[in-house]
Amino acid sequence: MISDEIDQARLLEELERLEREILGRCGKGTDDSLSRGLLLARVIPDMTEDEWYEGTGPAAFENSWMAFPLNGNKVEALAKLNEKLEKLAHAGDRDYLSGLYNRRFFLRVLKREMTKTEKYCMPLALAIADIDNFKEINDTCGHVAGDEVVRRVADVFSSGIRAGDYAARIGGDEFALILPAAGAAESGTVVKRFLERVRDIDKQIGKDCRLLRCTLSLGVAVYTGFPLMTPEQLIACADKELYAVKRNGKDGFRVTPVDDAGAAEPVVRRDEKHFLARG
Amino acid sequence: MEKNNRTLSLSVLSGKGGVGKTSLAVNLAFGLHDMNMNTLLVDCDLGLANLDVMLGVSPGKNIHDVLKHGLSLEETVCRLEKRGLDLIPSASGVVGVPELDEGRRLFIIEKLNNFLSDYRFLIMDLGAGIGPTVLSFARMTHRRVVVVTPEPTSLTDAYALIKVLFMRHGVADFDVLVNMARSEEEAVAGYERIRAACDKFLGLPVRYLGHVRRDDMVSKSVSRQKALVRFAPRSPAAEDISRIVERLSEMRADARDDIAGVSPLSPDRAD
Repeated sequence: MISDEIDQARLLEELERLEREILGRCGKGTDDSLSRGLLLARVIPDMTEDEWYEGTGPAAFENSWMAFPLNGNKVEALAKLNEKLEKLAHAGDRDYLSGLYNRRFFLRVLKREMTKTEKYCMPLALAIADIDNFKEINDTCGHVAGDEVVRRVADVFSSGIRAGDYAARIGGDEFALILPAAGAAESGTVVKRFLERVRDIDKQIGKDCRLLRCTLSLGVAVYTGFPLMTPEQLIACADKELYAVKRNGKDGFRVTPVDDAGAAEPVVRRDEKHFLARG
Repeated sequence: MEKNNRTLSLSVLSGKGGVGKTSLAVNLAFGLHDMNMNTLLVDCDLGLANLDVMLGVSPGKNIHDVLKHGLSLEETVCRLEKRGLDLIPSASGVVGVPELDEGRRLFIIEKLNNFLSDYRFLIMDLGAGIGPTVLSFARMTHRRVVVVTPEPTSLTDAYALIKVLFMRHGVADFDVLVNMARSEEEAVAGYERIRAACDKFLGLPVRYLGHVRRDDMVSKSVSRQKALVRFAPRSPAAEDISRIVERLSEMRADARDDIAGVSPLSPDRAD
């Protein structure tokens, strides 16, 4: 806590020094015009000073600018700067539309949680969800309405997710839930609750569009580490259940345990068994 | 940890049930105690525990009280002899807790490690099969005793267990004990099959811990709820058991330096 305060104080000092220097370099304009000016700063990774002056550095100036007002109010500027830095750090893992985790982050966590399952022998439930008739919504109400539906469904996930679980948007209308340590029964209870809440979503989108219904289809695969799988294989298992729900009238879920019973190869192969029996 | 551990931990395993695993665990514990080796026996068969039934003790508390009600192990431990032979019982037929989650396993392990310093041996009687709790505990002990009978089904299930522990978890240390053998020849032939299969398919050497002959006194001792080595110390099976107990004692002496810096139960080894 104390070291944090010192850092903030030092930062503040830096900002003030920077402001004095900039003001000095800009020459003596009227005080009035300068105090309404803004200093823009931006961190460009891997760019050298030479590149900057030659104009050969990375050209993309997306939203990573940071602004300091030159009005002497550095404390407020510092607070905004901190907020901005936090947002930037966050943005890499988040989906811009829904605010849920993005596909890249999802794959990273899935891999990590599967390794935990293998190591500590605890189950892991992966749910893949898909908004029913999403194409129709887009076609009849337009893409803006489609985006709004995605946002509302995402809100159901982010407000209902339990601590320790993860919700991600992994495609246009496709979502994924990672539920560590949840088996078939537990994950069923969790996803059922989400299905119910999505049914209750406000169907009025803007002034002109009212959905008849908004529902999800959901496939869950429960990983136990037997047999070993890659994240892609586990996703395929959950997808398979999802398609089965879609075929059976949508608005529902199916859970499948992924275990040795369904594996191509049992623990002891035929030749090993034969060898053990006959010597 | 400090390099002063003197407890050798053994998990007693069998792929298949009904091969006399629990009875052997009990008798090995009694045998070690009789050689002045303080021993703690832990019933880890959380679903269908019956160590207490086998010994005719009716413990007031069991491992579930530790897990659920935060009891200390000292309050749970059941003395089988005046000193130096203790049991931590489990509850029999508890539905819904046969598999422990990771947190509970770590909780039990930490408690056990702190509790163990007075013992020379820790014997964990694990359930049959290759469930998560079995695999998890089996990975954490210094050594593993795999109990088989000469039957092909028992050999196959034990091989499956060894294979999973080796291939999936890198556990490469197994001592095979052949139980219920009609003769030494039959025991050695049974061991040879499992040894050859491990060598051929896994490239894994396993060791022969010994055999225990089939003996009617074993089932009689169980129905009298007494350990065989107490009930019929001169029976063929009891003689075989005392030979194995001597080997275990040598095993501990040989491993003294290796185990000095390794906790009896180490979740870190479970990789």
